[in-house]
Amino acid sequence: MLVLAGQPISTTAQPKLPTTGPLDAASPQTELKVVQQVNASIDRGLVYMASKQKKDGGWHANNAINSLAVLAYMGRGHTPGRGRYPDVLEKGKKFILANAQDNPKGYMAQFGGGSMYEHGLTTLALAEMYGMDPDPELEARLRAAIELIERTQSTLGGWRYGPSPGDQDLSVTVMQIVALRAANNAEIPVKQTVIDKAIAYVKSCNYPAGGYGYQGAGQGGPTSAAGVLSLQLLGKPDDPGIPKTMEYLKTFLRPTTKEQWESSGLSYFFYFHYYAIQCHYQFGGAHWNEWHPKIRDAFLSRQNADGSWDVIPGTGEAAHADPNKIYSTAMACLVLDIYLHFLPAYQR
Amino acid sequence: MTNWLLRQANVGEVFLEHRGELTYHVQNPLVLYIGLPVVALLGLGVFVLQRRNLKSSPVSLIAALTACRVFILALLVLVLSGPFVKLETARENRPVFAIVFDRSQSMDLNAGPFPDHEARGIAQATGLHVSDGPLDPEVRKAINQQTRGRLAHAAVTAKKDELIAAHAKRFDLKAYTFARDVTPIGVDAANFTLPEPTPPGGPSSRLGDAIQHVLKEAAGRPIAGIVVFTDGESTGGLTLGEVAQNCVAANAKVFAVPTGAAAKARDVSIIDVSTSGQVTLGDTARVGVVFESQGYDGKPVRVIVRDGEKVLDTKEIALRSAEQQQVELTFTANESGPRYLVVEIPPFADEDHKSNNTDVALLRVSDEKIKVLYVEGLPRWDFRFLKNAMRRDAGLTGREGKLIDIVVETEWRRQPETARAKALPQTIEELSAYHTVILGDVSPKLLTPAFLQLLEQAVREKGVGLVVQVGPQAMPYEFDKTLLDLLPVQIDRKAAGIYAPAAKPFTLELTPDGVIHEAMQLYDDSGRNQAAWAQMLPYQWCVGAVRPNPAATVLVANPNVTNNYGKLPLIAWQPAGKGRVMLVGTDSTWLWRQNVADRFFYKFWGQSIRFVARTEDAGKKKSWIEVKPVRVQPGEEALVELRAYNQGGAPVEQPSLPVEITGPGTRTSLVLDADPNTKGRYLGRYRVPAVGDFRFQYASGSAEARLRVLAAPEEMRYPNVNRAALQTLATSTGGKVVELTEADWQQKIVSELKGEPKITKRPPSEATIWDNWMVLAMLVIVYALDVGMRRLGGLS
Repeated sequence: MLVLAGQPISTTAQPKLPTTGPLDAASPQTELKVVQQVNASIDRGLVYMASKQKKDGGWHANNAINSLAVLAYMGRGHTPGRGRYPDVLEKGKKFILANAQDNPKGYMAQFGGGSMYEHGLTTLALAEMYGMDPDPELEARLRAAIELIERTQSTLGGWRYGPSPGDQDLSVTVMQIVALRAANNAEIPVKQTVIDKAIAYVKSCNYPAGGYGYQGAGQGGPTSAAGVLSLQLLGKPDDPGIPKTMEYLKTFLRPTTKEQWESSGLSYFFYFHYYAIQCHYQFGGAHWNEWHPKIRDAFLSRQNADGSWDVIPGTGEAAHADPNKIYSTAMACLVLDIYLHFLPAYQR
Repeated sequence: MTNWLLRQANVGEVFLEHRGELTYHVQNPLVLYIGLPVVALLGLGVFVLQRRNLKSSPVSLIAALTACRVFILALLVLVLSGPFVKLETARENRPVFAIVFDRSQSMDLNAGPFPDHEARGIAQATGLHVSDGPLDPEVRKAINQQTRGRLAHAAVTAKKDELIAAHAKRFDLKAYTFARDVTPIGVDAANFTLPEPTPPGGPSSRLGDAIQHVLKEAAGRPIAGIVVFTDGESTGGLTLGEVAQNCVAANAKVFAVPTGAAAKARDVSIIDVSTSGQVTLGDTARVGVVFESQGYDGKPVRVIVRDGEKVLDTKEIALRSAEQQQVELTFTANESGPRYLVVEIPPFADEDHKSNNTDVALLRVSDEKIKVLYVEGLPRWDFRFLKNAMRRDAGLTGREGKLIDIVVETEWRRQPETARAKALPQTIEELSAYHTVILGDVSPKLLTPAFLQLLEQAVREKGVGLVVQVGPQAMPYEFDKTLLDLLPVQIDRKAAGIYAPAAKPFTLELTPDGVIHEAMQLYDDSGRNQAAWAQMLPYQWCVGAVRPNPAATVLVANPNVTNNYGKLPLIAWQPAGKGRVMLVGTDSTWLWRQNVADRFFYKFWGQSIRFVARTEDAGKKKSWIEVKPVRVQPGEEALVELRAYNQGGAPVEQPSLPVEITGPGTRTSLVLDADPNTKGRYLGRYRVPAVGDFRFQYASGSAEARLRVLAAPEEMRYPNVNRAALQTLATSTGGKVVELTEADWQQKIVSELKGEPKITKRPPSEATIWDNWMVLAMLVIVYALDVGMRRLGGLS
């Protein structure tokens, strides 16, 4: 999974969000109230992340985390050169571009390590920024990044950690698929053969009873959410494997108290919910209606007073958590961003 | 007489109105004190001297002559002393005490059911005599079944002495009713009688507007308090948050009196219905339904959409009261024209409010797909959302393929030269095959002068519609007259748009023309529509427009940027020859997606694309008439546009033309005025009187349009008394919610009314009373008298 540097973060008591009084509590949640709650929560998260941005524009020695942060700002409607955070975005972009290896050509992982996780997420962030920022370097690097994804696809249609064709897993693959989709949405051509092979690979990971495996047919929360989202973004929202997988994902829908949240058994909790809420939104209907209120409440209730979110102790994410909590905070903001419908990559 | 004299002295009306309070003064009293005795002595001397010199003249003549001279001298002394009148007025300034009654449709709902202990309080509040024992069933029934409007009336009437009459001298009582508009009630506080309430019927509740009206009428005077009797629903106008801020600024407390039970009704209510807006015959149409329920958790209901009696789709849903629920219904559009779809959730037998289980939505079904060419510069977010939404819109297509035609400059410039040259249509036939062309933030490298000339010809001569969405890179600043002349606004080419301060982004404001324009209808209900536009997210950049062209119609303005011509036009359109051109002056319409995705964003774009689209009539020179919007509520205005051609196909050139209107119980004529900028175009507005179908005909049916007028369902969407909203409104202004069930509820208001009458003296006003024609006339007359008497007396 994501390579996250730093110390595990201890969780602290979570402050309760202010309630709106018994009268409001008794009323159905209207759209406006949902937006107000979500916006306020994301705004606190963004203020927190802005306070942690370094002078050089970066947050972390991993471009995946830097890109998640940039995406979180754009997901709230902050675009390059406009609004409250023009400097945060500009400096973030420059840091990402300046610290990308570009070796092989187009590779966006930072010097001294990295993986195609980092490349996929960074390509996604650049693709979302492209069009709102006329920077020619941004466009050139984005095109090179897309070409790298195309030429590093394995013969089976997937991607693996290294920037070369060979092995594949669904987790790395879905990151590339989201990036390709965002680029394609910006009219950057993506070869149809790449798309077709990616579809074939994702489908090969589908478990007959529902769910998707990490490498080959299997089940697992994060990979199942990622598998569904991959097919939805690749133009296969009606794939027969999806409804069964959506039913399977229901088993991950737990009550929203802190204790129940922490005993969910998800080793990559934020990662899972980042994909899960997207695939539920894309799927829509009863699944979405059942999913999003509980997930929203869970994320809103777990935000720290300083605007950040903590990773859950003992999970795989905690083992790699960064001390500034940028990964978890950006991921949580991106989960909540689904309500705002601003990021083009999120659209149905 | 004094009045007449003062009027002749030109002292001004205000002095005349306060004649009893006038005092008379002189500027130089010393002149008077010295001058008059001197004149008296002089008069005596003159008399003695004349008696000595004019011995043959009678004494009476000498006395008369002396009197003339003394009078003239005395008058001169008086003038020199500077006489003037002084007005000093004092005013009793009483604080305004306003009582506001909600008279919207929802006030016709039952006030109850109240639990026993509350029913007793309501009975006492409304002046009913109740004994200590159990409440009489008939009394309880009467209390529960009286309407909210009647409850407010009875409560105020029962407590009028304590609430109003006792404070008649202390406060200036103002009373109003409101629904959509505010109506003053003429009342005498000392002898207070509340007129019988008119039947509720207002199609919307603008509580915020009503309170704002009180603030405005107070005109800066102190406000003791504003008491509102309402169910707390506000379906349009100023939001309660906005008006609460204004109340705080005016130091005015709001006391909210909920006029209904606190218990939530057992109810299923359709909150919102949305449709695809427009589809083409054979397409799948979607109807989104949002509803909420109370008291029926887990019970299944069917959501039905039908066209007339024909059921188009139905879905079964299990009710949950915790959140609003959504469902999407689909069907194949098989009949063209405007379709009024009825969405229904059959009510439970024991539902308290059954009128909100039905709503109506408009879907337009066209016979032909609209061909669209979309040219964009950078793949900005508006482009990414719009092109996908257009691709999903089955009513749109390209010139030849199934999908709309898209050219993006960033990809175009990477193509070989030969492909670049063929990217855009090369001939007028190719270009005019499109119904609508959309230009984004494209540079002149792609939009060459040759193409722009072709575009101008296609718009003006072939009626091709054009939408130009501006951007900071090039559009429209880098273009010359050919394109700029097509646009409905004049552009400042010196700057590439206007950036808002980061902390104070621009807002948008729907103009009166925009309120009724078909492109701007996000909701079918006008109140909701205006509220939706008012709540759009602010944006950071807009076009550097100077002013709209004379022929342009501004639909949305930027109120944050003004110049000599008023607010900056943001979205506007104008006819250009046979075509229509719309300018979208911001590149951030994607912000309209917040929380609702494409719903508002694409409703605007889809309607705009179709509004400007080339019509077959554009080439035929045949009269046509349009009425917009196609659905309005009683009392609202509709815009009537007529294009009139004679039999030879030439535009009719008259100062005005009549249109015949027939509707339920209505047969009338509307005179349309000629548009001075477009030959053959006539415009007028018609305020629809009642519910029903209306027909507009020109020249005995040579052109015809229809308009459907529907009652507003918005009043019944939230039937419960919204105490939460009233609590927020009242407490944020320093006031409070007062329940009619509380003992001495009126005292809880009266005890918090603030302010006492104040006597304020105005600065004195002065007016001179000597510099006028009367003084001059007296001088001349007396002098002439003097001369005449001398002549008659044989004196030199």
